[in-house]
Amino acid sequence: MTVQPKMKTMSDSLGLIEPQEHGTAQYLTFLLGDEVYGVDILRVQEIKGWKKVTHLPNTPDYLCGVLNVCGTIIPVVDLRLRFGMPAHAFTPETMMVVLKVNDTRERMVAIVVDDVADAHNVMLEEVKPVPDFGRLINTDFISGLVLIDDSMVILLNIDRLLRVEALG
Amino acid sequence: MSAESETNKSNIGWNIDFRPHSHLFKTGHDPVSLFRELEGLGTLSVEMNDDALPPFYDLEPEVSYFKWLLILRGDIDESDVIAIFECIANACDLVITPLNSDSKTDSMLNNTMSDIEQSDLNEILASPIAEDDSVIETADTSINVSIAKVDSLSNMVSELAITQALLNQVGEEFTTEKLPALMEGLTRLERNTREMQERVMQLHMLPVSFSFNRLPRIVHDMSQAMAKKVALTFTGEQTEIDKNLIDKISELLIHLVRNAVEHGIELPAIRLAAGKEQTGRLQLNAFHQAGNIIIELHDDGSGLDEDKILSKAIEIGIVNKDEVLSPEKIHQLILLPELSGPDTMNDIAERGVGMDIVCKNISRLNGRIEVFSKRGIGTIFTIYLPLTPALMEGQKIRVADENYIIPLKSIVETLRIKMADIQRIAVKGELYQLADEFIPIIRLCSVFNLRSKIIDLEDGLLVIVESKGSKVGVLVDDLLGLQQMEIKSLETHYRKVIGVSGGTILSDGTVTLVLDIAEVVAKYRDPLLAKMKVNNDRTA
Repeated sequence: MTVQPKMKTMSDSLGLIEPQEHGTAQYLTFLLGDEVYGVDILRVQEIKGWKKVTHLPNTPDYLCGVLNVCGTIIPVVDLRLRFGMPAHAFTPETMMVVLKVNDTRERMVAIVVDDVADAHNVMLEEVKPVPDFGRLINTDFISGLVLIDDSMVILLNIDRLLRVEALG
Repeated sequence: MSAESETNKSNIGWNIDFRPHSHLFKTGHDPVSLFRELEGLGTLSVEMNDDALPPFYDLEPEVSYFKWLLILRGDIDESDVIAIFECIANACDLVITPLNSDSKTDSMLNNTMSDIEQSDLNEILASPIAEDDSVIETADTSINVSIAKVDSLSNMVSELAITQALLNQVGEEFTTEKLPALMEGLTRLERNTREMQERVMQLHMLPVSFSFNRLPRIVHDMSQAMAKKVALTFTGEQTEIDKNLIDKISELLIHLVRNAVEHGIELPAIRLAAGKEQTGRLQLNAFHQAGNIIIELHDDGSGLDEDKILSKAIEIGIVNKDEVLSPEKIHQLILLPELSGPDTMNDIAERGVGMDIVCKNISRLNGRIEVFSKRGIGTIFTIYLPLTPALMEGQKIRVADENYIIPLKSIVETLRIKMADIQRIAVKGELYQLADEFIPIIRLCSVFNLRSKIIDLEDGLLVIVESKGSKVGVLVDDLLGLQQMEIKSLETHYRKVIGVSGGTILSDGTVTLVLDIAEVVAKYRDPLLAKMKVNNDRTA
């Protein structure tokens, strides 16, 4: 197993988008506790610091509320609560990542994460399937696992994770 | 007058190549009347091209298939000719060329132009569908705005420029003495911006009569064909409504009006026998109420046939045989897709498309429809449509730690509760006695599952609102200021949330939710009311 040797800072990868080699994809990684997750960087619309959001009545607790992004109102999902992790106090590192989701139409959803880490090139052939956890853990919204710098990154299928039915 | 000028005179004029788009008739205009007007200007010869006319059975009676080549002779100003066609500028392609000019180059130009036209014409005739598509696109992107609105807008812009100049002046070499002037300038700026915002919103608004204008024709044609007598009247045609809604509701109205003429209004003889006037009355009312535009269609026809609807509903299994339904419940059934779908009930919904299409379209516009009918007396359809995205005024309120906005139009009054005026039913049901009315009290915190510090009714404030004609009192923790707002849908990126019609973005960029009082009331009455139920209610 080889690890993608080229490490780049996020601003590098966002600023100068290099032509992507065939068979690779760029992922934005972020942290939830000790776990590292990745989303397709082309889906990332905006990264912003945590701001107070407007609570929506009668919605599940992982739906923090709604937020104004460029004049439209988008839902905000606390990924910790969504994954059943213990809630975490919002710190200056707490980030919101605004993502484009392909549902029945294109929608925008923001996720709250502990911290945004980095951008990485991932060779698609190195992505491993997720082992079956049966009813213990729902793995439907994980598209695969990949090793970056000797640590496991969980790649998310945000279309499944954030489709409107899954947001309560 | 010399002979030469005489020939010139007969050659002066215009060649008008007039190709109406297929939706010409839907704009309510008739080419014949235009031709008559042209005739008033000079001698007119008309040549019609009906090559695009399909075989008889494919013929759509509402589609315009013809093209005309008009030759208008006489010393006429081009602008006069254009003026006549102005009213249908959006519904036709028009090429106006001088008939014959003095210089040769001009006539050569004319020749080439008519060549081009000919080839164009052939092309267009060969591909009528492509032509149609482009028509739809252009129809979407243009808007007719009254000069008065544009004038008021440009006045506002010049005022804004003055304000800006004033602020510039203050800003140069600013000293603390100039602070009052700065404050004044900022106040002006705020007022200007707000007014401009309002007026830009106004540009989107058109009188609802634009969607009424096809109806008289349809009623006329249908009543002739069916040997019925129908008088159609309008009130409130000047009620303004969002431009985007105009086209959409006109389709709906056509459908409802057709239904009313075909199934509602009886034949003259039957009407006489029932003691009614020979001529059936069809009344269309439009007005604003509680942040909605409401369109009502009354007919004084036979009303809905409950037995027929019920037996059909039982037949297709959406109602149990032993179920006893009130007439009102039965009337609501006709709005269900199962019952009014294409195959099931051609005798109630005509032309294969039923009321469910109407319902679906209305709920797509975030509106709803209600039906009220009485056998032998008539039927009333009421369409509620939101006014959005027009700017509205709202009352900001606080419940627990959350702020919400109640549309000002649905608020009747706000008051501090006097314990003496509170009545209870079975402990849980709280009523407030306002004059001689008993008004149910809705605690917003319990509808929205919020933890409010207000437990004693006396500590809160009661906002009396009107919903579907009845009053309810909404208990809130505090009243905050008034707020201008543009409602933005939550459905764009999320879904419908019960009790909330949308959100509005405040000046600090945060979102505040705007309450839908009718839904809050529904949720209060049925706390289990969930997403699906609302969808059903909206289509039902």
